[in-house]
Amino acid sequence: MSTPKGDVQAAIVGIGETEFTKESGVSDLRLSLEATKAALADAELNAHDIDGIIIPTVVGATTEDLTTNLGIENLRYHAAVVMGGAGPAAALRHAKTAVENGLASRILVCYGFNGRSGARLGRRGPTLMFGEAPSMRRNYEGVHGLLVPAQYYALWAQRYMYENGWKSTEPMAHVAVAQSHHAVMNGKAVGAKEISVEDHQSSRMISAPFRLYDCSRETDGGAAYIVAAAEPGDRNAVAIRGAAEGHPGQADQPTTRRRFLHTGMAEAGERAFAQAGWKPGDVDFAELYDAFTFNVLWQLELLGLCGPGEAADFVMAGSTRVGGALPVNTHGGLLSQAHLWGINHITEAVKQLRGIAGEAQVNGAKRGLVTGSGDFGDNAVVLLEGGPA
Amino acid sequence: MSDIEYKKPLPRPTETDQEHWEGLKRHQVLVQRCDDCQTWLWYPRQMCSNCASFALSWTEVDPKGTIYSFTTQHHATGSKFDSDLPYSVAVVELDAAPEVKMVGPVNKVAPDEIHIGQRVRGTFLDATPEVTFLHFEPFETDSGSQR
Repeated sequence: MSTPKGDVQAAIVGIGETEFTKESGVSDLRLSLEATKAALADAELNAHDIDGIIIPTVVGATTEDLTTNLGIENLRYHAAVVMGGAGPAAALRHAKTAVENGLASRILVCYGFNGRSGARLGRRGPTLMFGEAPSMRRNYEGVHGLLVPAQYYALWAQRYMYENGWKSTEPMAHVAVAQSHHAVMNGKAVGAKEISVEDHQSSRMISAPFRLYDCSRETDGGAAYIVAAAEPGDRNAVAIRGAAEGHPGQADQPTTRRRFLHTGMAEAGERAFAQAGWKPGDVDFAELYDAFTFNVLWQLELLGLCGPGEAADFVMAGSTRVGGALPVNTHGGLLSQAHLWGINHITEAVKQLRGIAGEAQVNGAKRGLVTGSGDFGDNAVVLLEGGPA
Repeated sequence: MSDIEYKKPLPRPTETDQEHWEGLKRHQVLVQRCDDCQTWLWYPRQMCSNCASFALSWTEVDPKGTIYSFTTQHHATGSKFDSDLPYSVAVVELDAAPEVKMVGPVNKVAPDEIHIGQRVRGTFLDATPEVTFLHFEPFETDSGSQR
């Protein structure tokens, strides 16, 4: 079932990350290039070997910027994925398809963005560039002060809490606490510190029901990965076994959706699991797109990683901690490591599957799940497997 | 109308939703309804997403409804709304068109009193000679109880 056309198995063969800081002092493009240089070195390739580029977000470097600076002379495949924070995960799906069908042999996906010192997500509207959705968002949401992602996710969280009979936001606190612990173990986030449930519950309100520690960590940084055919015996290659996306109706209009809590994430998960021939119980860890704490709880249920309505108990029992039944966001995630539109979920998953994730290494990690969520209606799920191809 | 200049963002109506804004100027809430299958449609659009008909009519609805979800903003976003903090924005299900969920500010309610299931009614804010906004505020039903 997981054997692709022509027996080519696409794999992530190299990863790179810049430092993650509050003020990089360099351009978005420079961050993209630094991450790319590291990924090329990791893959033991040079820039001339790259013949495909996928731009995973609507920020940072363009393909033209990259080919010019890297000296790529023989590009034969280019695509851009406009799915907001789902882009880095969804780009893996496109890269897998391209490599397994001979459209390109080595594809670069990179990201670099000054998300803290530059344009902060907490202080601007969503970036939609064309179509009628921007007008409608402005005319029916922006004019009423509904402006930033925290507010949109808060509307979902509030409804979810109501439907599930939550009396408090304590389950969300436990997500924040677990991930702050992972970030300290990971060590990459500048100034990472472990927080308590009380710290969460007493932190200032941002967009009710979200408090400060429900929100992700806006960061300057970059990361990159390279997808190519897995070579037999390459112990560093991480196979892409499943990759799928899902979208709700009225994708750009979350407030008006008839099925308010339907996002397409559940369908993306079903498709990815079917492609890989896996079940949710087969994964050893998950890196879940966590722009806000609530997203983690929501996705655990949508992906079948726990039962419907069980996410609160699952998280509060410590199941998502490293050492628990299903470690989640082992690097601290967007919440506690860095909000890099989710590309750091992919680099962390690769590290886990290579067994080089440091103190937060999940013992015997063989299979991992990564998600991406963006633009309030775009979702992607990727299933990765380590070990020799 | 207030003689204080309205400084917050104004809508930029398109061909698709111009009629809705014309209605608000007259203090009427107009929502599209499909002539062929009677489906209510919101946001404004060009085509019925239920039956693919282009025959859509702007139909007046009574802006009474129930809060389906809400968020209260406490954090400054660097926008013109910062002077209103904390303010609440709700998704409201309209009684007259239950398929329609409309977003609006909810006035005259404390952040710790707004809740899902709360009954609200529309009010009109004449922001400029050209633009009127639909807002919401809680109201007591005849029986004094929640729906």
